[in-house]
Amino acid sequence: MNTRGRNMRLRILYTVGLILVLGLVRLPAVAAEQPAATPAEVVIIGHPHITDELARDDIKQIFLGRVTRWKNDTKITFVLVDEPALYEVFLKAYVDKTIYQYTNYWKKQVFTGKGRMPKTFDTSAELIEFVASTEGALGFVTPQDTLPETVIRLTIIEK
Amino acid sequence: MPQNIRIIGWMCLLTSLVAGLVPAAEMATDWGTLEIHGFLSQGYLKSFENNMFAGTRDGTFQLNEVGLNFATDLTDRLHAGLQFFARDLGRLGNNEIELDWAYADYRWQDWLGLRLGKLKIPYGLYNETRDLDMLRVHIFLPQGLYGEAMRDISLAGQGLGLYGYLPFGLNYSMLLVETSIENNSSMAQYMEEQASAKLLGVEAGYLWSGQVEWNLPVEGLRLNASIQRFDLHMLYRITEETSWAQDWLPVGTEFKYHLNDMTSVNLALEYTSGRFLLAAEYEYEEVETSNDLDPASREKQGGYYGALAYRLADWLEIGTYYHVFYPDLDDRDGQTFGAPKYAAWQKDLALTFRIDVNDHWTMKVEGHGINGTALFFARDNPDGLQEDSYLLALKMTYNF
Repeated sequence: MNTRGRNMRLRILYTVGLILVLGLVRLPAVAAEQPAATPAEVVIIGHPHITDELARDDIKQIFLGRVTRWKNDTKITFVLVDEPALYEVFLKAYVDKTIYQYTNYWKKQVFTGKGRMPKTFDTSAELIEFVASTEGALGFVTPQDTLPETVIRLTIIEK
Repeated sequence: MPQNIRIIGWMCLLTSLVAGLVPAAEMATDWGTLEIHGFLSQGYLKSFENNMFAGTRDGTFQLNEVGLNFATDLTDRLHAGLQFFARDLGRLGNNEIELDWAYADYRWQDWLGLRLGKLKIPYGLYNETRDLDMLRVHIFLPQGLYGEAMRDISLAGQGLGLYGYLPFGLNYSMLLVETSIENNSSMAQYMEEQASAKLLGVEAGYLWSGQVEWNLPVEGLRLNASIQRFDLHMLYRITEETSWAQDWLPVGTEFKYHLNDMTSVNLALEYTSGRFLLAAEYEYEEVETSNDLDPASREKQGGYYGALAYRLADWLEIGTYYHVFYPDLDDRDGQTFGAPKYAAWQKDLALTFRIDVNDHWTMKVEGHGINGTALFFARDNPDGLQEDSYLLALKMTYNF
């Protein structure tokens, strides 16, 4: 390898190393910036006819499209709400992904033909109305959202 | 490039630049149950020392992809869709529109589904998404594992597949397809260069593929194992450039060359935690080669890479990988490979900055420092190949 090439590789390596060191130094600060989301900050709601018991991992599998039917063979329709703070907390608490990672996951499904982008509503009110009127539907809202009698709050069990 | 394709490409680019200001929901058209999505990429390549895929030493804009897909749910278990795709990478692709995938997907149960049609081949972490620039950090994937040379045989085929999601975080996919290789494809060009003879035709047998993925109880960690197998049969003609045969075979002689039982195995790991991503893959490939002229022999090639990525901010991600590939695992230092020795390997260090302007618009800047010339196309470098080369790649992608 000539000297010019070796110097170029060294420059690239030093730059990469510097960036990684800076990134590692920043990691604890970044971690501190992200408050741990808890299930208590999010309420899972569903259509009144849902009777299945759900654990946290079941919610994850549903929202990743890996489980698509309830035990009575009704189709599961999960929906999202485009309220960033709530959305981020839900994904952190149940799906273990950031908004970016979750969006990319579904883009992969769409652009390889394996799925469709999840239905997303602008407001919790619209989401609640959809869940109330759609057999097998479930979504998420804040604990402060008022729930009509046409939806149920799903209890998440420990497994 | 045909002028009409160029015009369409610029129209799409201008439309996407304007549409970049428009939220996604307004761009994806939902006609009843029909969804339409698409993407458009345009890039620039500039290399130093060696040309890569095109005249990159002079700089080139011959790097772009366009895709458009349509999908619908026919019933609550049956899903169908198709995607058109065109790309240009130097001499390869040239924006010829092709059917990327088109299939019906019947999901009888979550643990068993059936797909029929033109299917993407699941292999490694990124084979199914290798043309989807917006889904990864890097512009170019490690070429030894996702190289242009083998793209046409390993990307997609027509046939059937089975898939399913199992307990304990397992999922599987297997398929049996027929692939076709055009004489002007990247794989055909690579095989022509390897033989230094004119390729008259390629016949691909059935390809079968299997993949198992395990999402471990450790959050963010997944393991992936893939295997695929196929046969290839080529018909060549000796030309005046076929230096290895000039002493004993007249120009114009035709001979057959076979790649029998070409089997590839890939083991992969990916770990994501918050803003951090770690990925590593190892691939091993073995094939029996035979022809009209020499006894059959077995050849082995393989490679690996390790990659790191970190999202510094919502709009900025940085990634790097180091990749090594050997076209002959029994001769990693080129002692018996032939001249030059550095054709016996490729070692590539890449660094990428990804900028997310918004959910639909991505820009990337990437640099490569490459040692070794394995997988380089000699026809792009008629003056010979240098041991070390460098590549700067810029790319912008819009998706909706």
